[in-house]
Amino acid sequence: MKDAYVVVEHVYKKLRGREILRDMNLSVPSGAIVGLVGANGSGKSMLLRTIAGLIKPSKGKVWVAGKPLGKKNSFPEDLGIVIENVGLWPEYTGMENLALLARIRNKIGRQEMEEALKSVGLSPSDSRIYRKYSLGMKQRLAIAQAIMERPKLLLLDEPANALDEKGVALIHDLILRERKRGATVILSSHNRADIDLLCDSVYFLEEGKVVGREDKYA
Amino acid sequence: MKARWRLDRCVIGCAIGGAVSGILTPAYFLPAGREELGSGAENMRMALFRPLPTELDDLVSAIFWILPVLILMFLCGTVFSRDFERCGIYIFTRSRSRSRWYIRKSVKLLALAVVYYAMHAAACLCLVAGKTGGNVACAAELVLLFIALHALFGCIMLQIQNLAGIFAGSHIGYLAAVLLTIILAICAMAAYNSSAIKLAFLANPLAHLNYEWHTDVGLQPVQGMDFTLAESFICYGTMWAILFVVGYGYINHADIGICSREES
Repeated sequence: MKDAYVVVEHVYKKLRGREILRDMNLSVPSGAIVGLVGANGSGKSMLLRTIAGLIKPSKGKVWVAGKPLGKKNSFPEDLGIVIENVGLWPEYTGMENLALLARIRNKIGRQEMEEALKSVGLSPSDSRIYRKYSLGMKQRLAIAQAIMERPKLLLLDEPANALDEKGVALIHDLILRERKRGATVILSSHNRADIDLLCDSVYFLEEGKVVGREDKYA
Repeated sequence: MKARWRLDRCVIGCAIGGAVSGILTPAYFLPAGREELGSGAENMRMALFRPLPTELDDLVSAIFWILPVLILMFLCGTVFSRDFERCGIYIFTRSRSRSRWYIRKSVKLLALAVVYYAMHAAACLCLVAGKTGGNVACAAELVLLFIALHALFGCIMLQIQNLAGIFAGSHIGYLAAVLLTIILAICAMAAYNSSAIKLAFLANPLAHLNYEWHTDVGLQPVQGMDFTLAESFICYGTMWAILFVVGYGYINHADIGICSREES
């Protein structure tokens, strides 16, 4: 299990007296696309946030690329993440938002940011500020920020949310391209069709626990 | 590619805010008449080191006395919580570790406080020079002391406010910390004549800003206060260190980006 790129081992999380994650176990091989399926409140987003290091588990451990998440290693290296209901800076354009984020790691330049925007169907020269974006555009920009630095691990929480048919197809292609590049992808979705199309394995979550698993090629 | 980054806006805000407070507060406290302003060093002393009003009914003076800190807190009260709010998750996950993020942000608060009070002192200088027709001594040591002491105190208040902002939610924490400052000012006035004032620095941290300039002996705490400059710096340094450690512990254990509506 520890040879996998992401390992979640016996993770529990209690929040405001309620057990959000219960004995969660997950193993994601390197370069795979793994899906999380479950109803609202099943723990999908919490699990993704726990893998991202944003949530501290009450019990259990998370390993990413062989390293346990902890004090010295708060967040996985080389991570791209899209979180549901998380926005960007409203007073800046899409390109400026990406530039602000890119400055933190300082790994990429203008070209990579432009490519990321184009790959999600946005224009790098769009002068509209984020506040004026539609929901679909905001979602596309969130995905652009996640992929622009070509991370090794992509965590996508409902990536097709608010997207039209064309946008959904674009994101599907993008996810498959990321896998081809060698990235490991974990995505959550309500849409079973998305999961079936993209994922090598699917974990079924219910009330904070994994209740089933399906492997495409098993 | 360069973006108009909000860090620059924070620094610019502090510079402008410091200048504004450096004009407003001394303008209120300095005598109107040029003949009352005295010699150069006296002017700067009056402009920079003003004793806390001692009468509880002199509330307007107390507010003007505490105004510089209030402006600083208004400008820089959400430095931490902005990164804990929604879009900051994308910043956080790009940081190498929570500790690094916290140390960087804490140093940023100190830097902002220094910028703010440096501009405050510069504006004071300009105001005094204007009022005295250029008769102001360039007391560099006095100015540096002022900046160091007040920036440290300002940084403590910012640390409290920013930590409160992430403990309690940004708006509540922000409000709580500003109210705390006002309460401190009132407590300071009420406890002014307390003989235990030196040991009660935690209840009355404003006491260590109460210095007067005496031409023969230089900067001294106001009459009745029994502490030295070194002790004031130690006091503030200790308070800041305690806050820093508390925040460090919290940041390393907190869940990031959880709001009350979070469910899945």
